[in-house]
Amino acid sequence: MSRLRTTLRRVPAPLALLLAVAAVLSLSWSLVTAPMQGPDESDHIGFVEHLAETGKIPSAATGKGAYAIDQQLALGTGLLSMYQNRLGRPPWTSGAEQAFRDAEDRLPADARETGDGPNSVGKNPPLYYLYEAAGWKLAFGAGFFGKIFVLRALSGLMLLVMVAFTWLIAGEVFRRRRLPQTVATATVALLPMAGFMSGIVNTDIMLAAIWTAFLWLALRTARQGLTWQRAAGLAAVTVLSVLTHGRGLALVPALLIALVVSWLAHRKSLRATLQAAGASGVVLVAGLGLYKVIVSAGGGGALFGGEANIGSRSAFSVRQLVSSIWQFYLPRLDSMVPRIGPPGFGYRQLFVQQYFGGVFSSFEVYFPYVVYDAVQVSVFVLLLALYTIGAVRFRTVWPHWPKIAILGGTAISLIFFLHVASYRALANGGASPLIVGRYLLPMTAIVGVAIAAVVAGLPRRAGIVVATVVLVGMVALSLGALALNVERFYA
Amino acid sequence: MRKRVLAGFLALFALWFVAKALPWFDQGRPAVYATPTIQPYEPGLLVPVTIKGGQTACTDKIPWGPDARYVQFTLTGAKWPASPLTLVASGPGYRAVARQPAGTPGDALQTLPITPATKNMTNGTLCITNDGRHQVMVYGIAQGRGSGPSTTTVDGKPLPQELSITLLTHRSQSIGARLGTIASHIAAFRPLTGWMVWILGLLAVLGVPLAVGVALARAVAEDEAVAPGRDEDAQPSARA
Repeated sequence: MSRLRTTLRRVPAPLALLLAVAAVLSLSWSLVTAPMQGPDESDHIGFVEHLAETGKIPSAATGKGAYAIDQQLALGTGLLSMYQNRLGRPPWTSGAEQAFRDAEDRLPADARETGDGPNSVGKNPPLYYLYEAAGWKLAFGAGFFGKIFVLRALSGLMLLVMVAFTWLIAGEVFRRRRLPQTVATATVALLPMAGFMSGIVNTDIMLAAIWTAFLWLALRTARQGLTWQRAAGLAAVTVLSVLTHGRGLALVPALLIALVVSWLAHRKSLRATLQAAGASGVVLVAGLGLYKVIVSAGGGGALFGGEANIGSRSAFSVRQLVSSIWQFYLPRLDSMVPRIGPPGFGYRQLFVQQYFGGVFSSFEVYFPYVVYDAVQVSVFVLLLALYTIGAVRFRTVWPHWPKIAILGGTAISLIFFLHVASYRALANGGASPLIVGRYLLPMTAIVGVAIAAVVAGLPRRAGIVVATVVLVGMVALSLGALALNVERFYA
Repeated sequence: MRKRVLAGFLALFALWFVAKALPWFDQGRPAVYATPTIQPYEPGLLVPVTIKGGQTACTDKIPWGPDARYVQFTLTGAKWPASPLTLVASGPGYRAVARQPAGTPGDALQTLPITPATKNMTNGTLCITNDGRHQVMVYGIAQGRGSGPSTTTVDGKPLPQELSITLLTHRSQSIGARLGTIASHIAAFRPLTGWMVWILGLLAVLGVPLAVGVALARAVAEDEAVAPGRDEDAQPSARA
């Protein structure tokens, strides 16, 4: 007990406060978002329930129904009809609650074992669902809605993991400078999309937590040198990412970057290098093999189909992909054919509206556009400041190239992967671009570090002022987003 | 410096709170009691319920209660001015009547006051009778993802679509005046009480900015305590 107390005392005060902030915000998000109103949340819950109750993965293509009978009953209370409809409200009268409980009590004993599919997230790897299924089992006395409360709380723990690892990442980048370390960590704790996703049942928050842990391990490896143990550790975290979601595959190029950068920074002997490469390779292959076995046993779908789109064999043109990415960020050149996919969806919608500002529930809750305008200007100013500080203080910044390469390379790996997956989906005849703001959550720690780098690069007083303005803005954004959801669901 | 940073942070936050958050608390909005059936939010979901002269459309599973004081529905797509309508709210031990005079404009949300029930119930009924000669059409929603547990009938014959009904407690009331009710709404169907939601709300609105401000101030103070020579970030070697 005294050892625990000693350990807790060693937690720096700013980190402890920001962990508390993240916990309060995550719990608040789990309450202001009505049950099963998050993106694909019903399907994720259906997966968790089927896995917890039967030990089997639901099918993506076949089966008698996507949801177990108790979930169907819950959706029938009005939660399905209000999905994406801002004019609908969840049931909240005591009579409705009692009626649901009575109906739930009358269900047959095997009611929770149905829901074998087809489930739209049935193709997902199982790690997040295994984690949540443990929570489902632990909440053995609770009814359906009580279990959802527990599942969402478990998602909330992932935000705390993100916050803790961002603190460590910023510690690697800024060493003992507490102000930028605090700014980077607070950015993660306060980003509305991170809070929102930690308050619902969805794989994306675990993916983000795993990527944040990876970044810390990668930065630490780059600083301390590549050993086979560290290489295996990095590969193991990459496997966790791959086992969480198809989009987790985007961490494989980041792993390669981390290994190469760590090697270049220290130039270990050939023997040590081969040991490290071998260790990471063995762990990666073993992890992917494990996944294949799990999927085969569960009768799941193709390897990384769905949103990751790796399994599809659509037409692929590098020229069209490059043109598509160009037009996502910049005006179309005369030599380019118009980008495939829905018009009016570009960097502003993805980065500014759906990620930095945020859209909530299942896309029907959003800020007034003037808020996104302000966010866009702020992001632009911070990027400009980052570039300027990098250029002006190039000699100071250059020695830190391994950290920059790892952080930048990981962000680019994620963004490029999302563009490729989106392009493949559209080229395959899909109507949806399959790229939304929450997919960017794994790079939230990098965003935090970038903002903190601006603060660190400015003269001391100016840095404090910028940090204050940015964090007040993020607190306002976070509380404003919570208020929008209260109004949407419970007012 | 530490106190100045905290004071500056809290002052800036207070400025935002007074300028933006307080008006949000104070702005009047319809106080929804329940949405037993849903209003269509896009034209593709709109499937009107046609009620000819003398016919009655009814929808079941309406949760009447002491706070269900207004009924909202929308007339559309018929000859104008619309016929007069009679609304009858009923349930076990409850019956209330409201009348909509002729001449209602189309495609506008109608809000009719109704005498509330003295106790809560989940199995009430709302009937709309067309007292005129011309047919009227009322907003309805297609079955499928948008439909709820209710069934709509016209003269006893079930329809595939549902009459879109919203129940209000007040036509307009500020969120600030309804915080207790909203907390109890949030707590419903969850292992929480309204008081717990209240406490969490206070922690979010007051505790979060305070905690972030203190964290910032502590960070500044810790940086100040570090002697300049110990600032490792200034060292050029990445291999240290």
